[in-house]
Amino acid sequence: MNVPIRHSVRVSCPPEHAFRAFTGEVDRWWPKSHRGRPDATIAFESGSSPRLVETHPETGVRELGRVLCWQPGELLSYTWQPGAPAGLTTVVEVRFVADGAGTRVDVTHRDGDPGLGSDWDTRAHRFAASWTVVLGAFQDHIAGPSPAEATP
Amino acid sequence: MNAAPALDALGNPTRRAILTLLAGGDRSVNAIAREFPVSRPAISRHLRSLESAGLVAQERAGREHVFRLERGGFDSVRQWLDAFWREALPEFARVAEQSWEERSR
Repeated sequence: MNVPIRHSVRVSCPPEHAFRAFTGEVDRWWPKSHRGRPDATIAFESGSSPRLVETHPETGVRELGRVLCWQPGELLSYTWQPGAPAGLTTVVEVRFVADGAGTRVDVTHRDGDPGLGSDWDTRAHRFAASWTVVLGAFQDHIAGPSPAEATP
Repeated sequence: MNAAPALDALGNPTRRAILTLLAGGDRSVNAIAREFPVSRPAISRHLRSLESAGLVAQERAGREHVFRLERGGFDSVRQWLDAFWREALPEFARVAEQSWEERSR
């Protein structure tokens, strides 16, 4: 199985603006179908430890993730817990690469717990229990080595 | 396919560890429980949660219940995340290009 998930898109604007739109206008592009409530708003908060938050008048502010790396025009990475507050933690990395007069935006989405919770049961972490590892091992388990892995 | 149960189930480190263990081969409840410093009933609860999320399935082998990984739950998570980017990125490109045009005017 080809993990992590990768997607790319080309936009007709410079990397600095693409970064600005990705972060500052996140509420305009984030699918309604993937919000806690369709009318909630999504934002990257600024500040010393910026977060990705979802806000709804009735349920208040909910943290969806934390910004790990903020390099305007180059790189953004953040954690995202789709099932916040209890769900799987995933890590999104977005690279902004100048491409002629425009920008190629490469998204890599993997699992991972960079802060590595202290809630690990003592012995649990001896298994590198990550989503990618689980999915990869699962693939090997059912099908033997996948052709995708043989040709990187 | 609804990914919410699988996302919830995967949010717990012990449950992820159980899945990683099962990726190495099918195991009985007892064999799983031996690997963890938590009680057998607690492991059974985790297994039930994984089962209802479609991440594992069980089969009776003699007097034992043997658990194995199940594809459906994993696929639902992947499809859900994949669908997110398929929908989000074209929309992001549209938004970015629109606001760039407005700035350049």
